[in-house]
Amino acid sequence: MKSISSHFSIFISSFVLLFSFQFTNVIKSIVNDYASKIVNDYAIVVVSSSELKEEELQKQIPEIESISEISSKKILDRLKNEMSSKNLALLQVALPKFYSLKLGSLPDKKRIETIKQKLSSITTISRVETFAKTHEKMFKMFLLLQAMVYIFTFFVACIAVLLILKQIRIWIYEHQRRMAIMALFGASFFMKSAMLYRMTLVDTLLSALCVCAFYDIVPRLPLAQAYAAELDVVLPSFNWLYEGSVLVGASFVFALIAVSIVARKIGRV
Amino acid sequence: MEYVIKASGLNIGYERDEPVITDANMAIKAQEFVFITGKSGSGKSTIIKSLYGELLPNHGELNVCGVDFRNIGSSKLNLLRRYLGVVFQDYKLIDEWTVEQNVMLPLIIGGFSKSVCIKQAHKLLKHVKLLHKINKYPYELSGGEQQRVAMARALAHNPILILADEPTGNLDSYSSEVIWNLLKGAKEHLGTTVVVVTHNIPSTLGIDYKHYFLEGGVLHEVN
Repeated sequence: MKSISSHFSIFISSFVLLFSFQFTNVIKSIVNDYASKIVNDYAIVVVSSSELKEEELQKQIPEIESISEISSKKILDRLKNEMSSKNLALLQVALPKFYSLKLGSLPDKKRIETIKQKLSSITTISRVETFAKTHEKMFKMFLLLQAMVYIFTFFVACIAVLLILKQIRIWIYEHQRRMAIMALFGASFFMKSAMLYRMTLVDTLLSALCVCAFYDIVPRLPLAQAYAAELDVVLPSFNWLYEGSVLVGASFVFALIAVSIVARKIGRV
Repeated sequence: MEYVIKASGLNIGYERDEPVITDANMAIKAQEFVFITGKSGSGKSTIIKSLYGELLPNHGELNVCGVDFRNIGSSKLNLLRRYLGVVFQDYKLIDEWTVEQNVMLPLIIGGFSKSVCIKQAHKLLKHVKLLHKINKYPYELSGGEQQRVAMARALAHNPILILADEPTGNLDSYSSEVIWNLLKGAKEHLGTTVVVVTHNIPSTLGIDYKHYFLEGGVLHEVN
């Protein structure tokens, strides 16, 4: 019973720590994905008296990915019946050019203001519309969501660390006598700690595999997919090679640090 | 190596400026059987502790099995301890290990194969008449049985030197006899040097021995 609770304690704390770590990665990925979606839907509209060149604008504002001219044909077609063809031709000549600027990344409010100022400083540009308010609201919401996840993860990680610190104290109490006796018969540091290292590495490896399995299986469940579709987000699929290795590696580091603290403390007793 | 233990001007204590043993001199040759006696609190256990390195000398020279204790490092001390068989007054058995595993401890540390460890543990447990309790845990045994397990553990790896701290203190006559016979056998058949700290030297031992007497922190050789 004592042994099971000892295993359970390290398994739970490692699981919680790795789970929250991976959770931040998933949220980060969802937010980035959503941000790129917003970027795709977002554009700055510019009114210019002359033609604008993409390369020249990109030199001043690197965020600009592409520029496209908004055709004035639709407006002119609408006015066809209300104006004479002579006036319409005059209007066509006098009408400025409208451009839609697509950005490569999602800038914050400050950056949008800078972009607006830079564009306004070009003499041929008479008006710049950034739709900053709508954009800012969305952006702030995402920042808030991300911040909330980080805070949540921080507290969860704190609880996991407290759990492992408690377990370290229990281990010191449980293993001190055995390790001291082994030392009296000439056991080396690693020999004395081998049992603890083995137990902890197995438990943390198991917890890492459980976390990997969770993040691999859950996004594929129909219920999770339906919920994600409702929110218009894409749940990232789990990469066993990269993310799995990171989680297993982190679990090993976690185990080694915990056991080393115990072994060193007992060694000093 | 003429002397298994050689000490001169040895000061040992738990505090650096308060020695329990002062200016001790000892010269113990291989295959000798040595008794260190003295009253309670005279420092008998302190001497034994210093011989296996639990307490390092404050002053003086100490050499055990060719290892000089001046500036001894942990790796050197670990290596020395693998050649010693120590019997502790409080047995020091590992509670969560079975009797068999406890006896196998010095063999595991010595890097012997599992089959060798098991074979040797069984042989020694047969000697101490505890083969039938091989799978029991220390807390399931009586004090005498625990001390016999500790004795089997001390002999398991055929040590050069056995250090026994009150090995028969509070034991029944049967267990005491088993332990004295084992210590005697180790000296006679294996050529092991034996150092025993005790209150009383058994009258029926029937072997030659060297005797040191501790009084007021001073070690005297008794002729």
